[in-house]
Amino acid sequence: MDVHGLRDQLEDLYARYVESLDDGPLDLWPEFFSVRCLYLILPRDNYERGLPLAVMRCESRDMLIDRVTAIRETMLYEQRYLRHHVTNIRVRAAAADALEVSANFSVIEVLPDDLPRVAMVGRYLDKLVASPHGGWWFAEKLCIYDSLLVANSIIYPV
Amino acid sequence: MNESTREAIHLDDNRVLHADGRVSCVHCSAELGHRDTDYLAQALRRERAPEASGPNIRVKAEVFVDQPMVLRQALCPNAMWCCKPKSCRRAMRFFARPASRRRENELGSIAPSAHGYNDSLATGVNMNSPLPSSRRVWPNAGYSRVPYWLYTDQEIFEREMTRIFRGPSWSFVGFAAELPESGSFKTTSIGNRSVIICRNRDGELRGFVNRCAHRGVKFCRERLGQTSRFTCPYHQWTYDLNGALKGVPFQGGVKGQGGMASDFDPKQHGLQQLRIAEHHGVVFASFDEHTEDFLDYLGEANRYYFERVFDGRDIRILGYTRQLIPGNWKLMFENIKDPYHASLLHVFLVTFGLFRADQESQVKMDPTGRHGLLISRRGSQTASEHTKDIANLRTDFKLRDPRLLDPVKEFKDSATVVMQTLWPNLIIQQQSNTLAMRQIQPRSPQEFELSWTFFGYADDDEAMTLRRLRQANLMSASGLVSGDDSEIIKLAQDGLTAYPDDEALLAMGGHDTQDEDHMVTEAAIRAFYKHYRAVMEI
Ligand code: FES
Ligand SMILES: [Fe+2]
Repeated sequence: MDVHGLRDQLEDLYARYVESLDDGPLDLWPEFFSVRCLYLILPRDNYERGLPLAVMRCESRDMLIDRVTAIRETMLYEQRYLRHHVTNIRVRAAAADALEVSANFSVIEVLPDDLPRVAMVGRYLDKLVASPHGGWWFAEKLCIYDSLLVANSIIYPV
Repeated sequence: MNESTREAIHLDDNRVLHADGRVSCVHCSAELGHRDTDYLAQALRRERAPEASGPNIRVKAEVFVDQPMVLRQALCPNAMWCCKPKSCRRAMRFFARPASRRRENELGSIAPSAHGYNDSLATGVNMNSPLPSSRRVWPNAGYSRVPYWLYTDQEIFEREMTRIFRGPSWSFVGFAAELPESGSFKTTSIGNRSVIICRNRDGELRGFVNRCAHRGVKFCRERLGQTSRFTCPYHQWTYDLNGALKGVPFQGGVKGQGGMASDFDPKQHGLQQLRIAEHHGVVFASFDEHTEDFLDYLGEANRYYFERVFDGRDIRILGYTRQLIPGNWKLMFENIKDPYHASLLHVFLVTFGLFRADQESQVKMDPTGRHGLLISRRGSQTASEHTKDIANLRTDFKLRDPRLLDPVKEFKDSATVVMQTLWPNLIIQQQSNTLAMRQIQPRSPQEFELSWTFFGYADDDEAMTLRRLRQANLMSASGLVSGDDSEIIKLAQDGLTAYPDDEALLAMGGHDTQDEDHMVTEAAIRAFYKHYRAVMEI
């Protein structure tokens, strides 16, 4: 496999993924996943202790879409801007139609009357599958945030 | 001496309290205030004994109870004409003004501190300046008003830590299932104090503070673990699984030099102990040796609902998560004791019929008001004449993947939601099949940690575990429902902080504190404050 070509593809994929969260539209976010998928945001302590609880758990693209609808239509929260930063993207295993990728993430959150703050740091453990339309889909995305403590709320996905 | 002074109590050398409540100067008989309306009232309140004046040194409560506190700063204004009358008057006027209206060097050569002047003294002579918290009085409308200073005041916070969290109460600290073997331990907090719960060599649960008896180090930094002893990293004092001090390096000195004072008795320097109560696998701790037995504390009605979830089956911990919420801890209790908001704020709940004002429901309190229950039965996703006030009701939102909400009946009665609040730090959540303990850990007047432990039962099959994990989407930091609550608590704190002298209104369902068979009430919050005020004596 062309390692540099793959790296370019992944850089581009994660950049577009983050853009859907930070700049929207949020409807694009579920499109990055395969129809059957697993998306979890969970504290590192749970992950390391083998405890299954996640604070956000979606088991299909439809559940991701339901989450987007809830964020749009039913949840109450203070408006905020987010900036996700993804670094250290690394391919841990590769086959022709499947990849395992890890990366670091940090999320800067800006509330209307506050200075920007780091809302979350952690890493992705991702499994990707080749999409029939070319490119990659996330079949599994674990967003493992360091520590247990959350700065108030996690409204948007990571 | 007139009639009233004969019954007067001497508070100290300079002040007397008269039978009619007046307090006057003993020298010139100038009136300094009145017990019922002034800051002096606070000073006359009975103080509880500190739970310990040092590691393992307990002072008998009787030593303190019924003793009036000494009034430290209530000097007679006349006593100020002591030294140089002119400069004194200038100093008094200076301190009577708000700080923003004082000019630097205005007092020139006068050294105010040398005269004993300071801000708190000045507020004693100028009745127009803002009241310090010790002079704050609860609004005169029973329990249907809550003053906003209650959510911001540092002195109130300290008093809550002492009287509520370290007073005669049982705080939730964890599950026996988290401490399976001898040497298993867990660190958590009661109020703002870090504590350790541990299983000793005999298999008994023990609790003690996470603060070294030597010089205060928070020596245990792990949340869950197993050990044979606790060693403080600073000077390596070592404690056994009961918290007793077992080793002090160089106690006998080195080469005949130094070493611990000869009167040092390690038995007197163990870790300050907590009492432990366990009921059906749930563990509670108390700083106060006089706290009533746990089941008496829980009371009948609350015991029924407690044992509805904790029926003796083994618990399986599904995971943890913690939130740092920028609001006062009492706002969390108010939120859970408030069924009125649930139908309005939580569009998700209402939309899917999980909780709605027109459903069969109850609000119950225990006789003291300290514990509460909010009980409801699920309905359907349809509009009715009662839902017209719910502007946000969305009848058109259908889940594309309904596995998120696939509740099954699992308890013996027909309730589908029971939110139980146990004084002073616990919410037991049963919403459909998602079960969790929410533990409230205040950090300051403006901030508390909400620590969630999600659980199921050891005999759950895989489908049930998965169901609980899916429904957990409703809860905690990114909860489709409880996310609304942590956000609204922040907005409440943001709103009320600048208005300490205003008050919240709790008049839904009248002014009483009795049980109700509907949700349009704030009675459980009023009941909470009824007990709160009794404990805090404010
Ligand atoms: S402070 Fe713990 S051993 Fe000295
Ligand atoms: Fe709520």
